[in-house]
Amino acid sequence: MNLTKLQIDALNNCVKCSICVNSCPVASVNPQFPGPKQLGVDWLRLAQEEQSQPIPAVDYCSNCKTCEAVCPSGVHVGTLNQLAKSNLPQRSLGMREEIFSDPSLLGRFIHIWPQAGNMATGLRPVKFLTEKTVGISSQAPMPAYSMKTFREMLLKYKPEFSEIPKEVVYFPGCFTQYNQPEIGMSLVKILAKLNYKVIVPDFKCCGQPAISNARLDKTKKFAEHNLDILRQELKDGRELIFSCPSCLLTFKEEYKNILGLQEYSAFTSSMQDSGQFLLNHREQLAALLRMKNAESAKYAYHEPCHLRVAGQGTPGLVLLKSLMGLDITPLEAGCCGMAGSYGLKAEKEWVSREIGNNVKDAVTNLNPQAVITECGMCSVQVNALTELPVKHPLEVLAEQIKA
Amino acid sequence: MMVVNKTKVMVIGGGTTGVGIIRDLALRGIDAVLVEQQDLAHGASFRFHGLLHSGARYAVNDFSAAKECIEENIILKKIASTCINNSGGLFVQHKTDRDEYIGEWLRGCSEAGIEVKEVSIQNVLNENPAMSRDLKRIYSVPDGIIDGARLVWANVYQAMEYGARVLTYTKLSGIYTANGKVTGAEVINTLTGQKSNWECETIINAAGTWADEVAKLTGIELNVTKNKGTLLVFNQRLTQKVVNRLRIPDDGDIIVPHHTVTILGTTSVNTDEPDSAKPTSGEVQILLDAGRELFPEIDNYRLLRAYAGVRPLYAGNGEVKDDDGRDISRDFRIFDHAHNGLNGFISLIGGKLTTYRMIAEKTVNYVCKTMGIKKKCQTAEIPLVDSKRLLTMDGKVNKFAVRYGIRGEMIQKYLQQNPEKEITLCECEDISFAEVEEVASWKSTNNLDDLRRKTRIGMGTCQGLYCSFRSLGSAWNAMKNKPQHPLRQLVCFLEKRYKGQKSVLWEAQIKECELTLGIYSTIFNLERVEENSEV
Amino acid sequence: MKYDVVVIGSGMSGMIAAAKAVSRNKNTLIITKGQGILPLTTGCIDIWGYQVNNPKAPALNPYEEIQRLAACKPEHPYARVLDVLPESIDFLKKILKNSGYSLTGSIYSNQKVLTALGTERVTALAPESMVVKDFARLKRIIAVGFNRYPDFFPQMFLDNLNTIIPQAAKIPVLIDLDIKETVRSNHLSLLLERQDILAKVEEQIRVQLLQHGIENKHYDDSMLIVLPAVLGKNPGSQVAKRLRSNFNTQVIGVPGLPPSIPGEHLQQALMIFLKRQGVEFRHNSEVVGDIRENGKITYLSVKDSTAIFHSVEAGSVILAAGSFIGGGLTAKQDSMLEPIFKLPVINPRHVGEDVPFLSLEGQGFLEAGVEVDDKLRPLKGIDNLYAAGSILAHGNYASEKSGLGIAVATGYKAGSLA
Repeated sequence: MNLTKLQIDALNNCVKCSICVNSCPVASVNPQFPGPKQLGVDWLRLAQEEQSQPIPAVDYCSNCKTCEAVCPSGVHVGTLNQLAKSNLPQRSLGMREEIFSDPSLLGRFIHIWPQAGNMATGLRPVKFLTEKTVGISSQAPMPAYSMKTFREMLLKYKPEFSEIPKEVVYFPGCFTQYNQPEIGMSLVKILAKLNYKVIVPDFKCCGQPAISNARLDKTKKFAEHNLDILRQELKDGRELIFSCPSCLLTFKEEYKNILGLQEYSAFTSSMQDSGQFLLNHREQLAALLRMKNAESAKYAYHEPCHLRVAGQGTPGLVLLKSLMGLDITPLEAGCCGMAGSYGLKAEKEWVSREIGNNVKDAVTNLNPQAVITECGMCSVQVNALTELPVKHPLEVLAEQIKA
Repeated sequence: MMVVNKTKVMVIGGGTTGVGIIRDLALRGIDAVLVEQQDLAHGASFRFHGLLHSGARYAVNDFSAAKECIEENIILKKIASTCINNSGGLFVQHKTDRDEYIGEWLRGCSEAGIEVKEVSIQNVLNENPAMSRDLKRIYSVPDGIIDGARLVWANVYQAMEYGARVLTYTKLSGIYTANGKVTGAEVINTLTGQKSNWECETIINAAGTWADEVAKLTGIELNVTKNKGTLLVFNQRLTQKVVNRLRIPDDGDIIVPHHTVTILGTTSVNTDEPDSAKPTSGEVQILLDAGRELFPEIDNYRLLRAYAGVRPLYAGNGEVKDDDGRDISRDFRIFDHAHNGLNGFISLIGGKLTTYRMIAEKTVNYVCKTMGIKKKCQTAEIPLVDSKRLLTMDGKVNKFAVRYGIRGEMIQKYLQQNPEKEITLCECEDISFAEVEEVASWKSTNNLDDLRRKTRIGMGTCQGLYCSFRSLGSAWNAMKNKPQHPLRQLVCFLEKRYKGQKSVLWEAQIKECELTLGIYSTIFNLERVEENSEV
Repeated sequence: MKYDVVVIGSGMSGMIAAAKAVSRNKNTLIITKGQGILPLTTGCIDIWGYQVNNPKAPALNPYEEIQRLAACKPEHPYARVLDVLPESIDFLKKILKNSGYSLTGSIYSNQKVLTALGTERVTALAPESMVVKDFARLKRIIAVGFNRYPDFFPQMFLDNLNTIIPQAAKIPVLIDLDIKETVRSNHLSLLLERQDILAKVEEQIRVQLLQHGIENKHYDDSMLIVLPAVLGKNPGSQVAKRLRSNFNTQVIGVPGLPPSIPGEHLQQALMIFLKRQGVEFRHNSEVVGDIRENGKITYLSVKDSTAIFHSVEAGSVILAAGSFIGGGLTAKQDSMLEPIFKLPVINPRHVGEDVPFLSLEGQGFLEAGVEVDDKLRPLKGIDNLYAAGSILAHGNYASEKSGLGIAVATGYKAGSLA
């Protein structure tokens, strides 16, 4: 096995302090998962000697990447786990991974008749059957599908610009596209007020779900398609913004680190979280807001792991707190446990739920009216754990924009 | 009253030569005892690069050595397969290396019977992308990787099964003679200070670097050149095959992937103080400079430690040509001190690890002749671990038999009785609690450092960070009854692990070292345990 | 986006600096690569362990020893922060209390804490779950290990304790929680939060003690039950308290191999506090350079996970990036450097010098670092850059037992000045 620079550096730099093991949400609830260091760095080193197959337990890695955010030595522990996972012999339950590795597939399918889709995924006998046949948990919360896709809504939206608008490229991601187009529409509307025209090219899924489901071949296909689009669209100083932290992380980091597509490096400096993009326009934005402190509601903020790992800070929180003056408190309770499709899998649903207990407890202690988070699947989990409404910062912000 | 023990042959020195001899004697059914002043393999047998020579390195300068190496290489791969990784080796010619040498080298190899094949540079680079693009030619040779400590113990375990006795931490303190003939010896246990007497007919001095000191006990002067070789250890594999530089042998020619690490060696300089040999920063630089020519990115790999071994070389009668010792033949010599007027005292000098079995065979043949014993050598036929014990029921190679020779069975048994001990103790080298606890309980394991040579704890990336505490704790009941206080063992173990890191304390390794200090000094306050109690 | 104060590093010194800055209503940002190495500490605050004039003897009053130290070693980091020392420790205690986590002790006295090796260490502030009342009065010590838990060995602990608490009877106990894999500290600490598991642990301890003739009537304050320091996952955990009241004995968790749960508690408690006070964090990011104007740092270049360079405008900057292990200092083959601002790194003692690995003198490389003036400024002519914590030269936290004390005091002072 020839190692990439990332792997060689990981072997060099890991001093085995095991902070990553301590912080790993999966290892803390599930002893079957020995820890990200053991399955990432240690395994890689031993495999150099023994040429052995990855330890099957690596399949329990949820790819939340908390390990990377806490590592004092800059080791890409999570990435190593994903690479090991992709070297596992193919699982027998291939169909489930096939479905989960491309959310747009299911999205397009259910979109043919969303009511029926939502009803079906909510029906007990259907749930029972999918658990027994495909391995999708009957207990897990299923994301609901929207009647209209983001693209359909966007086509109908015709903003009027007072002057020639500037342009920005937006990657909505599958969750916005099929499950909650309101996130994307909120962004488009806010940006219109800031005199930006939002360009949404025909991207494919970012490929993060495919990484987590050990289908790197799919991620690669998506990445190459998306790279073609970036070559065409990211010119004349246009930037690419994201409302989903996982999509952002995948574009910024995974294409390069996991797939080795170095060409992405040329574009990473043009990519950022939409919250950060808005923060860069904070003065104009402030002028658009209705009266500050108009609301007395109390909010809690859940920071998605991938936002933290992408090194973006928490621009959404800053927007709501310092710009809008909302009463919003960070939970700082760690990973919610959902990790994309991880929490939907029959054998992992319990892991996911136990991890989520921290978030649940923190929310119970704070007793807010709603929880705010950027990540779609986090919102599904937090909603299921707390039964509170969960919103994207952009949605909250859009509500406060003057007509 | 001092106990008097009896044996026929006493072997001094527990390096590969000594254990090869004791095994040979045992397999011939000759009663023998081996005496070693420290632990087995504490000298050059473990402190070398881990290369099983094909002989190609000697093809030009020392033809007979080359021939012996390839013969033994083939035998050892057969009988000592558990200690050898048959990786194959490469000889690579850098663009700065002379072309004229190659013809000579190929001729030498072919005459010695070493199978050499030119291989495509592109293929090698595909498999070893870290190698230099400045290579002109590459040849494959049947080199291998050999674990010196494992080899030594596998020999001893088998010898003991055939009735040999092995005394470690036992120093020869006197040789008894009568009428110009050896009659016995006095030995002292260096841990307990207890003395004992042995009656024997023959003493074989295989003390390697310390052979002159042993001979001095009888007043005989022995000329041993002590040659220090420094080696570097990287914390991961740079290559999967042994890599040799194809040129007149020089510093830093050999790169060996050894278990999870890579060893780069060696330098060569004569020394007067074999017990305190340590690497200098100059030697570290020389090795890095040489290594960089074959692996340009070598500075981007983490150096774990640097260590020095001392080779005992035969100096002949003032034949030393060069201060760096490389021109001296490393072939061995048998000295029968009958020439000095003492019968039954034989000294060995020189030799290589690769040819240890043959050296032992020749020595024991000679000793048998002098003692009038007619028994055939069997060491080339009987494997160290027979296939019945090596393979599990379902035909797979038993990991424990590979690691612990015929004693692998004891680990297996311990694990069956204590299934919860399957969990990993050392995460760098994947060593279980069962292995550590069982090996610690053996009588020949006197402290943590002995445990290390048998199990490889503390040899990997973390250099004892977790495994020293865990080993001591898990095997506590065994370790606390050893001669040395267990906390003293811990301190000594950490000190020795640190010693090797000292000369490479930069980049990630200084972090590792800081972390280790953070645990044993900051958290456990171990430096004050030393001061405040009678440890 | 402009911040009044930008702190580099989220270890103890960085977080205290940020806490102090935000208490002065400064708009504060922490930029951190990794999460700081508090999880590698015991969770105790070591201020000064041993006497300056007799390093074999424990310091009775750390504050007095530090005053003595400052007089004879004016370059030591403590000598720069004498003015704020007691106040900084109070500040830390207050913050932690605010997050539902409390430490006992003060800067004016040291206490003895046992370790998982069965050795003792002195420290100023310790979590309640580590504090033993009066070693001399203990009659029985019960050490509780867990099957398949690799980091605590009851018999080793007890045997080594013989030199410290010779009079007490010592009994090892092994708990089996019926887990088929390696049990790790973080998992164990989470399990112990569960009532059913805790009851199971209690039950097994009682049963095993009964086999040693120890009945319920023997359970009192002279009995000490010792577990590894895994007593609850969360900073506000009640596991130790529950065990104490259920057993009616003393119960402690002893620190051992990292990562440590009590260290993690400190980390979490401080981070939750800071985030809720409105300190912004940029995790997984590092500062790679700066722009200076008129004797001040004005902008920092920040690299996020994939090498994007953001400019962050900073009123003042506190460098609290740690020593080697934290990444604040780097050692090369022939030099040491501070990679962000390229500050001069001094190395008062020689690397690889011939002192034993473990000695009262300590390893020299820990004393390397940046030198600062009385206002903790490392560079002449740059007025708004401060340095705090283990990046400072001349301290030797391992042998002095001073690490987090230096971090708290220097962090506090930097946060007051920035």
